[in-house]
Amino acid sequence: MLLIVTLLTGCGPNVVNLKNLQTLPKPVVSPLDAHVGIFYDEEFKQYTYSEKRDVAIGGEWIITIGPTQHTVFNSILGGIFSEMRELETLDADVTGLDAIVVPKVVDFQFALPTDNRVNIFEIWVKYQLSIRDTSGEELGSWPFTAYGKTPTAMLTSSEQAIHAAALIAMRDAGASLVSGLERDPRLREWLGAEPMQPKPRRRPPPRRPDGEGPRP
Amino acid sequence: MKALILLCVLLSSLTACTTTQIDEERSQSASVAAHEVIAILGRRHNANYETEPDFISCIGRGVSKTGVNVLSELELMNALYPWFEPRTAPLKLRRLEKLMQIPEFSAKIQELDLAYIVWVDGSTETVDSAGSVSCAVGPGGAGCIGFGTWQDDSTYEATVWDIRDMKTIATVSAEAEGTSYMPAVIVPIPIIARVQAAACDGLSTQLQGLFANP
Repeated sequence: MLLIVTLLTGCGPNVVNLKNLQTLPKPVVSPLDAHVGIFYDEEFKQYTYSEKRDVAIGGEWIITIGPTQHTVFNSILGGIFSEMRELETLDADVTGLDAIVVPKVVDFQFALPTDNRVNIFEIWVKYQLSIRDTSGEELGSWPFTAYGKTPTAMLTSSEQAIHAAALIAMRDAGASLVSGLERDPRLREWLGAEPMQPKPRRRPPPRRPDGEGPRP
Repeated sequence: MKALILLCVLLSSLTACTTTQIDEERSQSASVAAHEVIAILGRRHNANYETEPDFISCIGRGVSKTGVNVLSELELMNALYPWFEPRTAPLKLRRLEKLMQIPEFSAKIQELDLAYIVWVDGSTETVDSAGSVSCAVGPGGAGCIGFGTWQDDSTYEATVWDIRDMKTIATVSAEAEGTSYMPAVIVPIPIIARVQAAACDGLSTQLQGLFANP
Protein backbone atom coordinates (compact mmCIF):
# COMPACT_ATOMS: atom_id res chain seq x y z
CA MET A 1 0.00 0.00 0.00
CA LEU A 2 2.84 2.33 0.98
CA LEU A 3 4.57 1.54 -2.34
CA ILE A 4 1.45 2.38 -4.34
CA VAL A 5 1.03 5.67 -2.48
CA THR A 6 4.65 6.66 -3.12
CA LEU A 7 4.29 5.84 -6.82
CA LEU A 8 1.26 8.09 -7.21
CA THR A 9 1.94 11.38 -8.94
CA GLY A 10 -0.31 14.36 -8.94
CA CYS A 11 -1.71 16.11 -11.97
CA GLY A 12 -0.35 19.58 -11.24
CA PRO A 13 0.70 22.11 -13.85
CA ASN A 14 3.98 21.91 -15.77
CA VAL A 15 5.99 24.75 -14.26
CA VAL A 16 9.01 26.21 -16.04
CA ASN A 17 10.93 28.91 -14.19
CA LEU A 18 13.65 30.11 -16.47
CA LYS A 19 16.92 30.28 -14.61
CA ASN A 20 18.95 33.39 -15.08
CA LEU A 21 21.41 33.36 -17.94
CA GLN A 22 24.43 34.04 -15.78
CA THR A 23 26.80 33.36 -18.65
CA LEU A 24 25.17 35.50 -21.34
CA PRO A 25 28.18 37.04 -23.02
CA LYS A 26 28.66 40.68 -23.84
CA PRO A 27 27.72 41.28 -27.49
CA VAL A 28 30.62 41.60 -29.94
CA VAL A 29 29.54 44.87 -31.54
CA SER A 30 30.85 48.37 -32.08
CA PRO A 31 28.85 50.38 -29.52
CA LEU A 32 26.58 53.04 -30.99
CA ASP A 33 27.23 56.53 -29.75
CA ALA A 34 23.91 56.96 -27.97
CA HIS A 35 22.89 57.53 -24.36
CA VAL A 36 19.78 55.51 -23.80
CA GLY A 37 17.51 54.99 -20.79
CA ILE A 38 15.48 51.80 -20.51
CA PHE A 39 12.35 51.32 -18.48
CA TYR A 40 10.94 47.88 -17.66
CA ASP A 41 7.50 47.69 -16.10
CA GLU A 42 6.73 45.02 -13.48
CA GLU A 43 4.80 42.94 -16.02
CA PHE A 44 7.92 42.68 -18.20
CA LYS A 45 10.25 41.93 -15.28
CA GLN A 46 7.97 39.19 -13.92
CA TYR A 47 6.46 38.00 -17.20
CA THR A 48 4.69 34.66 -16.80
CA TYR A 49 2.69 32.89 -19.46
CA SER A 50 0.09 30.34 -18.48
CA GLU A 51 -2.10 28.15 -20.62
CA LYS A 52 -4.56 25.40 -19.77
CA ARG A 53 -4.80 22.67 -22.36
CA ASP A 54 -6.49 19.32 -22.44
CA VAL A 55 -4.44 16.75 -20.50
CA ALA A 56 -3.98 14.70 -23.69
CA ILE A 57 -2.20 17.60 -25.39
CA GLY A 58 -0.01 18.80 -22.56
CA GLY A 59 -2.19 19.89 -19.60
CA GLU A 60 -1.56 23.15 -17.79
CA TRP A 61 1.65 25.12 -18.34
CA ILE A 62 3.11 28.03 -16.39
CA ILE A 63 6.24 29.48 -17.99
CA THR A 64 8.12 32.35 -16.31
CA ILE A 65 10.66 34.22 -18.44
CA GLY A 66 10.45 37.71 -16.88
CA PRO A 67 13.61 37.83 -14.69
CA THR A 68 15.72 36.28 -17.46
CA GLN A 69 14.50 38.59 -20.21
CA HIS A 70 15.19 41.53 -17.87
CA THR A 71 18.83 40.33 -17.56
CA VAL A 72 19.14 39.64 -21.30
CA PHE A 73 17.86 43.07 -22.34
CA ASN A 74 20.15 44.83 -19.85
CA SER A 75 23.12 42.83 -21.05
CA ILE A 76 22.45 43.37 -24.76
CA LEU A 77 21.45 47.02 -24.62
CA GLY A 78 24.31 47.72 -22.22
CA GLY A 79 26.70 46.36 -24.85
CA ILE A 80 25.09 48.07 -27.83
CA PHE A 81 25.02 51.66 -26.57
CA SER A 82 27.84 53.81 -25.30
CA GLU A 83 25.67 54.48 -22.24
CA MET A 84 22.64 52.59 -21.01
CA ARG A 85 20.83 53.50 -17.82
CA GLU A 86 17.94 51.53 -16.30
CA LEU A 87 15.17 53.87 -15.17
CA GLU A 88 13.14 53.04 -12.06
CA THR A 89 10.16 55.03 -13.31
CA LEU A 90 9.18 56.83 -16.50
CA ASP A 91 9.39 60.11 -14.53
CA ALA A 92 13.02 59.50 -13.54
CA ASP A 93 15.76 62.03 -14.27
CA VAL A 94 16.66 61.70 -17.95
CA THR A 95 19.40 64.32 -18.08
CA GLY A 96 22.05 63.41 -20.62
CA LEU A 97 19.95 60.78 -22.38
CA ASP A 98 19.12 60.77 -26.10
CA ALA A 99 16.16 58.40 -25.94
CA ILE A 100 14.13 56.10 -23.71
CA VAL A 101 13.34 52.50 -24.63
CA VAL A 102 10.32 50.70 -23.18
CA PRO A 103 10.13 47.01 -24.10
CA LYS A 104 6.94 44.98 -23.88
CA VAL A 105 5.96 41.37 -24.53
CA VAL A 106 3.05 41.47 -26.95
CA ASP A 107 2.66 37.77 -27.69
CA PHE A 108 3.96 34.46 -26.43
CA GLN A 109 3.44 31.01 -27.90
CA PHE A 110 4.86 27.59 -27.30
CA ALA A 111 4.46 24.30 -29.11
CA LEU A 112 4.90 20.72 -28.01
CA PRO A 113 5.60 17.77 -30.32
CA THR A 114 1.88 16.94 -30.15
CA ASP A 115 1.13 20.34 -31.75
CA ASN A 116 3.67 20.53 -34.51
CA ARG A 117 3.95 16.84 -35.49
CA VAL A 118 7.73 17.09 -35.48
CA ASN A 119 9.91 16.06 -32.57
CA ILE A 120 10.72 19.54 -31.36
CA PHE A 121 9.61 21.89 -28.59
CA GLU A 122 9.31 25.55 -29.61
CA ILE A 123 9.00 28.93 -27.91
CA TRP A 124 8.11 32.11 -29.74
CA VAL A 125 8.00 35.56 -28.12
CA LYS A 126 6.97 38.77 -29.85
CA TYR A 127 8.36 41.97 -28.37
CA GLN A 128 7.67 45.60 -29.07
CA LEU A 129 10.23 48.30 -28.34
CA SER A 130 8.65 51.69 -27.82
CA ILE A 131 11.26 54.37 -28.44
CA ARG A 132 10.53 57.74 -26.88
CA ASP A 133 12.23 61.09 -26.65
CA THR A 134 13.21 62.45 -23.25
CA SER A 135 9.85 64.22 -22.89
CA GLY A 136 8.10 60.86 -23.20
CA GLU A 137 6.71 61.30 -26.70
CA GLU A 138 6.90 58.14 -28.79
CA LEU A 139 9.20 58.48 -31.79
CA GLY A 140 8.43 55.04 -33.11
CA SER A 141 7.97 51.43 -32.17
CA TRP A 142 9.78 48.39 -33.42
CA PRO A 143 8.42 44.83 -33.22
CA PHE A 144 10.77 41.89 -33.18
CA THR A 145 10.59 38.21 -32.34
CA ALA A 146 12.61 35.67 -30.41
CA TYR A 147 12.45 31.98 -31.24
CA GLY A 148 13.92 28.88 -29.65
CA LYS A 149 13.53 25.20 -30.36
CA THR A 150 14.97 22.02 -29.02
CA PRO A 151 14.68 18.44 -30.25
CA THR A 152 12.96 15.89 -28.03
CA ALA A 153 15.73 13.32 -28.26
CA MET A 154 18.08 15.34 -26.04
CA LEU A 155 15.89 15.73 -23.00
CA THR A 156 14.18 13.71 -20.34
CA SER A 157 11.04 15.74 -19.64
CA SER A 158 8.76 18.21 -21.40
CA GLU A 159 9.53 20.87 -18.77
CA GLN A 160 13.25 20.45 -19.36
CA ALA A 161 12.72 20.73 -23.12
CA ILE A 162 10.63 23.90 -22.83
CA HIS A 163 13.24 25.34 -20.44
CA ALA A 164 16.00 24.67 -22.99
CA ALA A 165 13.92 26.12 -25.84
CA ALA A 166 13.17 29.24 -23.76
CA LEU A 167 16.87 29.77 -23.02
CA ILE A 168 17.61 29.57 -26.75
CA ALA A 169 14.77 32.04 -27.36
CA MET A 170 16.33 34.46 -24.86
CA ARG A 171 19.68 34.27 -26.64
CA ASP A 172 17.78 34.79 -29.90
CA ALA A 173 16.11 37.91 -28.45
CA GLY A 174 19.60 39.40 -28.11
CA ALA A 175 20.53 38.35 -31.63
CA SER A 176 17.28 39.80 -32.96
CA LEU A 177 17.93 43.14 -31.21
CA VAL A 178 21.48 43.40 -32.55
CA SER A 179 20.60 42.40 -36.12
CA GLY A 180 17.62 44.80 -36.07
CA LEU A 181 19.85 47.69 -35.12
CA GLU A 182 22.29 46.67 -37.82
CA ARG A 183 19.64 46.52 -40.54
CA ASP A 184 17.10 49.22 -39.66
CA PRO A 185 18.41 52.78 -39.98
CA ARG A 186 15.10 54.18 -38.64
CA LEU A 187 15.77 52.48 -35.34
CA ARG A 188 19.20 54.05 -35.02
CA GLU A 189 17.77 57.43 -35.93
CA TRP A 190 15.02 57.20 -33.29
CA LEU A 191 17.65 56.29 -30.71
CA GLY A 192 19.75 59.28 -31.70
CA ALA A 193 22.58 56.94 -32.64
CA GLU A 194 23.02 57.83 -36.26
CA PRO A 195 21.03 60.04 -38.60
CA MET A 196 19.27 58.26 -41.41
CA GLN A 197 21.31 58.72 -44.54
CA PRO A 198 19.48 59.60 -47.74
CA LYS A 199 19.69 56.79 -50.27
CA PRO A 200 22.35 57.45 -52.92
CA ARG A 201 20.81 58.63 -56.15
CA ARG A 202 20.94 56.10 -58.93
CA ARG A 203 23.02 57.09 -61.89
CA PRO A 204 20.94 57.76 -64.96
CA PRO A 205 21.43 55.05 -67.61
CA PRO A 206 23.99 55.93 -70.30
CA ARG A 207 22.51 57.51 -73.31
CA ARG A 208 22.81 56.03 -76.76
CA PRO A 209 25.40 57.67 -78.99
CA ASP A 210 22.62 59.22 -81.05
CA GLY A 211 21.28 60.86 -77.88
CA GLU A 212 17.84 59.27 -78.27
CA GLY A 213 17.52 57.92 -74.74
CA PRO A 214 18.91 55.02 -72.71
CA ARG A 215 20.50 51.96 -74.25
CA PRO A 216 18.11 48.99 -74.47
CA MET B 1 23.62 -18.24 -13.05
CA LYS B 2 26.97 -17.40 -14.64
CA ALA B 3 25.74 -18.68 -17.98
CA LEU B 4 22.65 -16.49 -17.70
CA ILE B 5 24.76 -13.39 -16.97
CA LEU B 6 27.05 -14.25 -19.88
CA LEU B 7 24.05 -14.68 -22.17
CA CYS B 8 22.67 -11.29 -21.06
CA VAL B 9 26.02 -9.59 -21.71
CA LEU B 10 26.30 -11.21 -25.13
CA LEU B 11 22.75 -10.25 -26.10
CA SER B 12 23.17 -6.67 -24.93
CA SER B 13 26.34 -6.27 -26.96
CA LEU B 14 24.63 -7.32 -30.20
CA THR B 15 24.49 -4.60 -32.82
CA ALA B 16 22.76 -4.55 -36.17
CA CYS B 17 24.51 -3.79 -39.46
CA THR B 18 24.96 -0.24 -40.73
CA THR B 19 25.88 0.91 -44.23
CA THR B 20 27.85 4.14 -44.60
CA GLN B 21 28.78 6.09 -47.70
CA ILE B 22 31.32 8.92 -47.57
CA ASP B 23 32.04 11.48 -50.30
CA GLU B 24 34.75 14.11 -50.14
CA GLU B 25 35.55 17.05 -52.34
CA ARG B 26 38.76 18.84 -51.41
CA SER B 27 40.35 21.79 -53.14
CA GLN B 28 43.35 22.04 -50.81
CA SER B 29 44.69 20.62 -47.56
CA ALA B 30 44.31 22.35 -44.25
CA SER B 31 47.23 23.55 -42.23
CA VAL B 32 46.69 24.26 -38.54
CA ALA B 33 49.55 25.66 -36.46
CA ALA B 34 49.95 24.49 -32.85
CA HIS B 35 48.55 27.75 -31.44
CA GLU B 36 45.55 27.84 -33.79
CA VAL B 37 42.09 26.40 -33.25
CA ILE B 38 39.28 25.14 -35.39
CA ALA B 39 35.57 25.31 -34.56
CA ILE B 40 33.01 22.66 -35.43
CA LEU B 41 29.47 23.99 -35.54
CA GLY B 42 26.05 22.57 -36.34
CA ARG B 43 23.58 24.30 -38.61
CA ARG B 44 20.42 25.27 -36.75
CA HIS B 45 18.55 27.45 -39.23
CA ASN B 46 16.31 24.79 -40.76
CA ALA B 47 12.74 24.71 -39.42
CA ASN B 48 12.21 20.94 -39.74
CA TYR B 49 15.34 19.60 -38.14
CA GLU B 50 18.48 20.71 -36.39
CA THR B 51 21.90 19.15 -36.39
CA GLU B 52 22.20 17.34 -33.07
CA PRO B 53 24.64 18.95 -30.57
CA ASP B 54 25.85 15.50 -29.44
CA PHE B 55 26.74 14.68 -33.05
CA ILE B 56 28.84 17.86 -33.23
CA SER B 57 30.57 16.89 -29.95
CA CYS B 58 31.26 13.44 -31.41
CA ILE B 59 32.92 14.97 -34.51
CA GLY B 60 34.88 17.33 -32.25
CA ARG B 61 36.21 14.43 -30.18
CA GLY B 62 37.17 12.58 -33.38
CA VAL B 63 39.02 15.53 -34.93
CA SER B 64 40.84 16.44 -31.71
CA LYS B 65 42.51 12.99 -31.81
CA THR B 66 44.83 14.43 -34.47
CA GLY B 67 46.14 16.92 -31.91
CA VAL B 68 44.27 19.88 -33.39
CA ASN B 69 42.69 22.25 -30.84
CA VAL B 70 38.94 22.12 -31.31
CA LEU B 71 36.73 24.89 -29.94
CA SER B 72 33.31 23.67 -28.80
CA GLU B 73 30.13 25.06 -30.29
CA LEU B 74 29.08 26.89 -27.14
CA GLU B 75 32.55 28.39 -26.63
CA LEU B 76 32.52 29.91 -30.12
CA MET B 77 28.89 31.04 -29.86
CA ASN B 78 29.63 32.78 -26.55
CA ALA B 79 32.91 34.29 -27.73
CA LEU B 80 31.27 35.80 -30.82
CA TYR B 81 27.77 36.39 -29.44
CA PRO B 82 25.36 37.09 -31.12
CA TRP B 83 26.83 36.36 -34.55
CA PHE B 84 26.67 32.56 -34.45
CA GLU B 85 23.14 32.16 -33.14
CA PRO B 86 20.68 30.29 -35.44
CA ARG B 87 19.24 33.63 -36.63
CA THR B 88 22.54 35.35 -37.34
CA ALA B 89 25.05 32.62 -38.19
CA PRO B 90 26.68 33.29 -41.57
CA LEU B 91 25.34 30.88 -44.19
CA LYS B 92 27.90 32.01 -46.77
CA LEU B 93 31.46 33.25 -46.65
CA ARG B 94 30.36 36.60 -48.04
CA ARG B 95 28.41 37.24 -44.85
CA LEU B 96 31.41 36.25 -42.71
CA GLU B 97 33.55 38.70 -44.70
CA LYS B 98 30.99 41.41 -43.86
CA LEU B 99 31.11 40.47 -40.17
CA MET B 100 34.90 40.71 -40.27
CA GLN B 101 34.44 44.41 -41.00
CA ILE B 102 33.21 44.85 -37.41
CA PRO B 103 36.49 45.65 -35.61
CA GLU B 104 35.44 43.88 -32.39
CA PHE B 105 34.49 40.76 -34.36
CA SER B 106 37.74 40.46 -36.32
CA ALA B 107 39.73 41.21 -33.14
CA LYS B 108 37.95 38.36 -31.36
CA ILE B 109 38.68 35.97 -34.27
CA GLN B 110 42.35 36.90 -34.01
CA GLU B 111 42.32 36.58 -30.25
CA LEU B 112 40.86 33.07 -30.56
CA ASP B 113 43.40 32.14 -33.27
CA LEU B 114 40.54 30.69 -35.25
CA ALA B 115 41.84 29.17 -38.48
CA TYR B 116 38.95 27.05 -39.77
CA ILE B 117 35.23 26.67 -39.23
CA VAL B 118 33.61 23.33 -40.01
CA TRP B 119 29.86 23.63 -40.57
CA VAL B 120 27.96 20.38 -40.16
CA ASP B 121 24.44 20.21 -41.54
CA GLY B 122 22.08 17.24 -41.36
CA SER B 123 20.28 14.93 -38.98
CA THR B 124 19.39 11.35 -38.13
CA GLU B 125 15.78 10.28 -38.53
CA THR B 126 13.74 7.16 -38.08
CA VAL B 127 12.25 6.70 -41.52
CA ASP B 128 10.35 3.45 -41.08
CA SER B 129 9.11 1.24 -38.24
CA ALA B 130 7.04 -1.92 -37.92
CA GLY B 131 5.91 -4.51 -35.38
CA SER B 132 5.11 -4.07 -31.72
CA VAL B 133 6.22 -5.25 -28.30
CA SER B 134 3.72 -5.68 -25.47
CA CYS B 135 4.67 -5.87 -21.83
CA ALA B 136 2.54 -6.86 -18.85
CA VAL B 137 2.93 -7.03 -15.09
CA GLY B 138 1.03 -9.60 -13.01
CA PRO B 139 1.16 -11.12 -9.52
CA GLY B 140 3.41 -13.90 -10.89
CA GLY B 141 5.94 -11.56 -12.52
CA ALA B 142 6.43 -9.37 -15.58
CA GLY B 143 7.36 -10.00 -19.19
CA CYS B 144 7.23 -8.79 -22.77
CA ILE B 145 6.41 -10.46 -26.04
CA GLY B 146 6.56 -9.27 -29.64
CA PHE B 147 8.95 -8.02 -32.29
CA GLY B 148 9.74 -4.48 -33.35
CA THR B 149 11.95 -3.12 -36.08
CA TRP B 150 12.83 0.38 -37.29
CA GLN B 151 15.13 1.95 -39.84
CA ASP B 152 17.30 5.02 -39.13
CA ASP B 153 18.87 7.20 -41.82
CA SER B 154 21.65 9.72 -41.21
CA THR B 155 22.58 12.37 -43.74
CA TYR B 156 25.27 14.93 -42.89
CA GLU B 157 27.45 17.31 -44.83
CA ALA B 158 30.50 19.10 -43.43
CA THR B 159 31.78 22.24 -45.13
CA VAL B 160 35.23 23.54 -44.16
CA TRP B 161 35.85 27.30 -44.30
CA ASP B 162 39.38 28.64 -44.26
CA ILE B 163 39.03 31.85 -42.24
CA ARG B 164 42.40 33.30 -43.21
CA ASP B 165 41.86 32.99 -46.98
CA MET B 166 38.07 33.24 -46.80
CA LYS B 167 37.33 30.24 -48.96
CA THR B 168 35.77 26.81 -48.79
CA ILE B 169 38.49 24.20 -48.91
CA ALA B 170 36.54 20.95 -48.54
CA THR B 171 33.10 19.41 -48.40
CA VAL B 172 32.59 15.99 -46.86
CA SER B 173 29.26 14.17 -46.84
CA ALA B 174 28.25 11.05 -44.95
CA GLU B 175 25.15 8.95 -45.43
CA ALA B 176 24.46 6.01 -43.14
CA GLU B 177 21.50 3.72 -42.79
CA GLY B 178 20.68 0.72 -40.68
CA THR B 179 17.78 -1.31 -39.34
CA SER B 180 17.41 -2.05 -35.63
CA TYR B 181 15.50 -5.04 -34.22
CA MET B 182 13.90 -5.71 -30.86
CA PRO B 183 12.68 -9.28 -30.34
CA ALA B 184 11.03 -9.78 -26.97
CA VAL B 185 10.42 -13.12 -25.32
CA ILE B 186 9.90 -12.22 -21.65
CA VAL B 187 12.92 -9.89 -21.88
CA PRO B 188 13.26 -7.41 -24.79
CA ILE B 189 16.61 -7.75 -26.57
CA PRO B 190 17.51 -4.56 -28.44
CA ILE B 191 19.77 -5.11 -31.46
CA ILE B 192 20.53 -1.50 -32.36
CA ALA B 193 22.06 -0.22 -35.59
CA ARG B 194 24.44 2.56 -34.52
CA VAL B 195 23.62 4.73 -37.53
CA GLN B 196 24.52 8.15 -36.14
CA ALA B 197 27.71 6.80 -34.60
CA ALA B 198 28.69 5.31 -37.99
CA ALA B 199 28.10 8.68 -39.68
CA CYS B 200 30.18 10.38 -36.98
CA ASP B 201 33.02 7.87 -37.44
CA GLY B 202 32.94 8.35 -41.21
CA LEU B 203 32.95 12.16 -41.10
CA SER B 204 35.55 12.28 -38.31
CA THR B 205 37.93 10.02 -40.21
CA GLN B 206 37.75 12.22 -43.32
CA LEU B 207 38.23 15.40 -41.29
CA GLN B 208 41.13 13.84 -39.41
CA GLY B 209 42.78 13.25 -42.79
CA LEU B 210 42.18 16.87 -43.75
CA PHE B 211 43.51 18.39 -40.53
CA ALA B 212 46.32 15.93 -39.78
CA ASN B 213 49.60 17.77 -40.03
CA PRO B 214 51.74 16.36 -42.86
